[in-house]
Amino acid sequence: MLSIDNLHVRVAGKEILKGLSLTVGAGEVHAVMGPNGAGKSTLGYVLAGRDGYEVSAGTVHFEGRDLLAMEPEQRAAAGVFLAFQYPVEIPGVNNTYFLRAALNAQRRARGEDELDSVQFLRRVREKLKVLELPDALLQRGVNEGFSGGEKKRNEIFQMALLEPKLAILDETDSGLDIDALRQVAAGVNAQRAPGRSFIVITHYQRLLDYIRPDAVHVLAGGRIAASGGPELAHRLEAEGYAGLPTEAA
Amino acid sequence: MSSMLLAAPAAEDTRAPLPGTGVAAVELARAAARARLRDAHALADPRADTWRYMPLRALESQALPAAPVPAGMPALEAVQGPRLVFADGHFIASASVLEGLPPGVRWLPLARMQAADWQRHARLLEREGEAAPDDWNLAYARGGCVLELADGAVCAQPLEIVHIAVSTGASAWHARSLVRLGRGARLCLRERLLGAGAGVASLRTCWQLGDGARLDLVQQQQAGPALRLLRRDRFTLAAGSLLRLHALELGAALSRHELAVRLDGTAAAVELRQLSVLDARQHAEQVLDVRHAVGDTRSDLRCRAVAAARARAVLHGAVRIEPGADGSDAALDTRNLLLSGQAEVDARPTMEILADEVRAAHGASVGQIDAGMLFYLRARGIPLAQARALLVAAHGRGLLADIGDARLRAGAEAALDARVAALE
Repeated sequence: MLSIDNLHVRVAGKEILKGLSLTVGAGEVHAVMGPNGAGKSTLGYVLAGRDGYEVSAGTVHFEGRDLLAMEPEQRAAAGVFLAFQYPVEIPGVNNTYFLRAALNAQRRARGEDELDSVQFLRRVREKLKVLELPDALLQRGVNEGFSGGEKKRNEIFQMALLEPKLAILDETDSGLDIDALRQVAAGVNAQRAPGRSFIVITHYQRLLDYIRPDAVHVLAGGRIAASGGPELAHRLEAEGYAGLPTEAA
Repeated sequence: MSSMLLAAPAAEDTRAPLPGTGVAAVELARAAARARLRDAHALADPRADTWRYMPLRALESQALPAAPVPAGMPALEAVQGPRLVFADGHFIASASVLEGLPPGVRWLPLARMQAADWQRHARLLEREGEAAPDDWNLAYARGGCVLELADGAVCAQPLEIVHIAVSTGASAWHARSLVRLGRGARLCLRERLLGAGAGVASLRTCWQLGDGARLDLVQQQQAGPALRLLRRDRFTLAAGSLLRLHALELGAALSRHELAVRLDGTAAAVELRQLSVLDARQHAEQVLDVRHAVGDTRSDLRCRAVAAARARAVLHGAVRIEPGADGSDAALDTRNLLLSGQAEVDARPTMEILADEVRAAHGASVGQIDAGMLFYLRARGIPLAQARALLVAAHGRGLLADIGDARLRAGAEAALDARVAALE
């Protein structure tokens, strides 16, 4: 589904990713862990298409298509979803309006019929239940006045609604108490499917107790420094990142 | 004197007499105004602080006859409540709904006022300001009305006054109104300026709020791209009264809107939400003059502008807390969005505080669309142009959220969205 080969990325003139390679198959869950400043969030932003992230070398293919040549909205319509580490507040843009605009824009781009308001609201209510989000949040501005936990749950709610093929969760567990963490993990697990892949970016093994990954990678020094199964996360939790090799595995 | 001001519609009196023609007091006031115009040397002093950005030549170079009675005008949507309609200043009875006013509420277009009405509402014959356009309006106003609410009268369902600019030729029209709310009266009113007409228009309204009165006013200026508009609203607020004003400036090539508010009684309050959305070479000026004349009064002024292409938005925001007006609470906040490198925003909020123990705050910002917000929307699949439009509309939408009447709020939001969608 996703193939990243020798990716080099510069931000404000500084090279952050230095030859990162990663392959994610359909239906797989890959955890990307690593110390602060390793480039984890950069990876998420580059895949989603944020400005200011200059790809100086390497390729990224998503279902055989050159992802780097696509605009952010084209990537979204193709099935790429980034759950933001810091979801922005957008006062004045109603949450419901935003969600419907996003969903229908993606459907238009894929040549599908748009959902009318009845169909849309039916789908919204189904997904809200899973994340235990109150209806009232839908009437507010996007993320406006949401608590940290509500913002993260709202990200997963959006993911559930948009049904992407590849979801990148950028430190979705940060700032969550244990109950919120369970809710978010339940929301993610409910979306696991043979045709849907996940890249779960996290600092801590804790999230992976709830979202069981197929593979765990350690991002250090701008590239994948180690890869393994779920046991690698436990090892990192016990030993930290200090003992890991700095060169790509 | 400029040719515009001297373009007195001398022939107009015989073709369609101005309201009040033949009433001595009216004739006297008009004659005095015309005399002052003859003696004036300019439309305004370009060195005066609040006129420094105004392209006066765009007004003074015009020789404008009075706008004739329109042969036709654009259709208005059906409304549920009473409405007064003026086209190029002419009262259009066929499009107006005069009936259905609640008890204690009455209105009368200038065109239907008799001598006794003019005598009773002599305030209409006073100047609303000191500049030449005030005399111009006084001398030649044809449109407008008197709207009165008796003590305790409640008009919760919105009334509407619509001015339509029709003539696409070079002409001028003027309207002046007097609105009085008695003690404890409540009024919800929408004023709209519509139509594709060109030329020059001036509007002058005197608003008087009695003790404990409340006025919810929505002003939507949606004129066509060729109109030049000079507008002044002067509010006097007695003790415990509240003015909640939402003012949208969306159209006109050139517009100047002066809002003078005098907080004259304890616990009087004004809440202003002003929004300009401009593109092309539009030039819009907001001139706020808010005076806390007594203590324990409150002003909460929020102004926002969006300027695209080569548009220019100007705000002169002056709040003055007079000596002795202790305990006043004043806030003036202006936030502005530039959508092009050639657009311009000039925001000049000022506060003059001459009293003790007051709360006063002001702030101004000018920026561009937030890149983080834009990316967030695009990352969810919303195309760039749509995402930009959403964020531009959002810049203003927050100001409209506290319009109490749901239908008026939806109307204002629709007007904003339509304007944003049409931005260059």
